[in-house]
Amino acid sequence: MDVDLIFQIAAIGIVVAVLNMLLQRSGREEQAMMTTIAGLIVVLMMIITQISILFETIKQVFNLY
Amino acid sequence: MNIFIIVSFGIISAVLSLVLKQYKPEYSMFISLASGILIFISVIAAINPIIRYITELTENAGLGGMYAEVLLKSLAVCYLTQLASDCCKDAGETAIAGKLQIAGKIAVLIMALPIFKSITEIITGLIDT
Repeated sequence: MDVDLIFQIAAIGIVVAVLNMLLQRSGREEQAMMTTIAGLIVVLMMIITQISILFETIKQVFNLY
Repeated sequence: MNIFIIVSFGIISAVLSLVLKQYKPEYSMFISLASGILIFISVIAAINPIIRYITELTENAGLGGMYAEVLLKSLAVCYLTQLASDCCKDAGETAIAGKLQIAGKIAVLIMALPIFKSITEIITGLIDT
């Protein structure tokens, strides 16, 4: 039960939101879009590793497939 | 599987996902998905004694391992589809959640087919005698 994964995702979300606003204020819309997509990919990678761990535990516990 | 840890973990992630909902709504879905998966992992890891008890019961009663196996597999399928469809509902995608429910039902039905067959055989055997 590692809570730090949740805190990491929240931190990435806040950082991306702040960066987005900063870049938009300074007139660089495309870089703001880039940072949003980058943050999205990073968080998706973390979630996908957690999902694979979940599937492995389910396969072991319920010997499914 | 300490209930206090899980409860506080759920409340913390709910608060965090609310904070993020105003700035970046997609991250609030990530947080709810991640916390759901983590709670799920810790619960499933603690389910082993129950499974051993079920398999012992079915073996002692001489029912044969097939029923317990199908029972456990459909339990796993139901857990997974429940997790995924709740996440989709949170994100506002009720259509996808409905499709996931249908897929889960069909998967369980497919798994339970041999049991229906054996039941009908037993019944026809009773009727013939």
